[in-house]
Amino acid sequence: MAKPKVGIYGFTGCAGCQLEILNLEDILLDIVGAIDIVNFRMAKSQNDDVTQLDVAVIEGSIVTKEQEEEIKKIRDKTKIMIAVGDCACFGGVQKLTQFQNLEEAKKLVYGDVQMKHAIASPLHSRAIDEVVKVDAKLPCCPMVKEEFVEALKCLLAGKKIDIKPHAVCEECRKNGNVCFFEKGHVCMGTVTLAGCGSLCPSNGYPCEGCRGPVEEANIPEQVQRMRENGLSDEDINRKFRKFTSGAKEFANALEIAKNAQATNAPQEAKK
Amino acid sequence: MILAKISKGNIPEFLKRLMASYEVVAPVEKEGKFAFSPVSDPAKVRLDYDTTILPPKQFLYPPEEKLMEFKRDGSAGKETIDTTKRVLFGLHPCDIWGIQILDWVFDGKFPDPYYRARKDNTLIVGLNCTSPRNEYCFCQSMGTYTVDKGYDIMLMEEGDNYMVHIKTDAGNQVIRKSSDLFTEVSAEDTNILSKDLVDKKMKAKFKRKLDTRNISELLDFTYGSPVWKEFGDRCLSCGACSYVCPDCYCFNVKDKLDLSLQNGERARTWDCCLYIDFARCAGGHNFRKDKATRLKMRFFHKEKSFVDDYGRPACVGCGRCIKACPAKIDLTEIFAKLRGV
Repeated sequence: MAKPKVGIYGFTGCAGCQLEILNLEDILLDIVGAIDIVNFRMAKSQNDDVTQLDVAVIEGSIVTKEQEEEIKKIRDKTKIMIAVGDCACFGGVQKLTQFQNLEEAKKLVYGDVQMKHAIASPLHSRAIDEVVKVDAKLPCCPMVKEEFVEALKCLLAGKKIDIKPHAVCEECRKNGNVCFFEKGHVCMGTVTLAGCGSLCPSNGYPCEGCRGPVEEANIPEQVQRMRENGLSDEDINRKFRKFTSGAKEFANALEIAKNAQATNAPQEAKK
Repeated sequence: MILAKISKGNIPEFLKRLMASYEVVAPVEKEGKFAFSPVSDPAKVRLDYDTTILPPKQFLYPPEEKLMEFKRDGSAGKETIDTTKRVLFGLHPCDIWGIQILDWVFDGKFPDPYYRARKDNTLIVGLNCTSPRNEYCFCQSMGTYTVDKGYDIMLMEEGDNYMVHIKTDAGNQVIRKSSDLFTEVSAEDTNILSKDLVDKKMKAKFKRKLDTRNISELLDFTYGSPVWKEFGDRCLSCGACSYVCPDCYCFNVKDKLDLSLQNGERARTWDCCLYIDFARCAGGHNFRKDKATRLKMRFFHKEKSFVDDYGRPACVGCGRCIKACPAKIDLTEIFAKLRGV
């Protein structure tokens, strides 16, 4: 069987996810033995823009018209498109401009510098699936390289990519960590998708929610816990929105909590 | 010899000698809490611990374990059996009970070879309790404050000494090998010991309680209670309660291939009935879609099915789940509410 043809592309992001692929040094030869990487601008000098792709791996978000055209072209020639990292999956940290005026945000970052490139007229950051169809998402900042390899194996074996809909707590508890809530801190692990191996909590730092919301994340309960720990509404929004404000549960956490309270209030009154 | 005595000062030397032939797992300090961990320095062992973050089950039934390696060429798989000689040192009665309950499941009608091999190679040294270790303990309610079997040696604190109750031949042999560290028990010692058991242990007051009378029926009759939704709505489905439980044992089995797709390994990992995908089957149907149903399921399994099948709940009153729950769900509160107390 011919090796599947794979293209790896970067849009607006830090390129850290693509770098994670190169960081798979120990098995890099096994990877190129299993797949045919026809396009990978970060790692190859000769790239093929014409060949039809079995798999396209996309890093970064879409912030210009030109990128929109480019991702559509890639989609047209690709069977399976995988978004990797928070920028591609959720629009990334740069998606935070959605809560403010884009021109003001631009000025805040670039000042009065005159730009010639397309970035001179940026749009709000969009996740890849806001522009074209995406078949699988591997979130995290950066993407988890081991998860990328597992996804590759699933694709090679013709299986569905299996990401367990469990919270970071699963891995954190298995690692025998002391819960940050028990220590009086706020941790986002309770509402965040596992898969990172609870990397931050296992190294003494509370989860920042960079893998985005777990399926059926209990936002109202989390908001309640955050308030009990002394966080203001502004702090709560910052915590939720930092990496994955492209996820509606995290973008609208306070509203979700408020609505849940309103639904439960009549029942409370009856008691 | 059924009883012996060891001075507290001799415990480090006893541990050191055990380390010569066993991996010794004992409570050590971790970020102000305690954890069971393999130890190489006896000075690190903290027998004054209240409870541990994870129960000792992880050394009989690890969070993730490789069951076998296989090739896809039709050849027989190679099983991974862990036969490490291990001592679990300083287990409180509740945790010894937890292991007994795991025995019913993994070493009953259908013995699990992976669990069994670990258990067969494990020596259990208990540490008696004479009062609640912390505010979460409710072992008195669960009948697990004392334990009559499931250990090889039991240490009972008595001033500057531990009275040592030797339960099994394996325990006896270990003590005999280090007989210079132990002394005979005098009539006075046994007097003090029995007095302590009656006066101190039996009269200890536990604030936290769970009324277990007719608990199986209680659950049958409260199946439709609004209490389940009340607590279910708060549940974060994080699984902390079952991972810190000494006798929650549900697992998942998964095969992992290498990049050539020709070689692989089969792994078993802890799983939890509170996860949304636990009862989700092919085609997407989910038998327990909402959190309240899943929370109810957890308690029906542990406090009803176990009573019906084995005669007692699969809860040992260690209180770890209450302490660990980020949503502060407290099962003693759930059961009090179900009873309408």
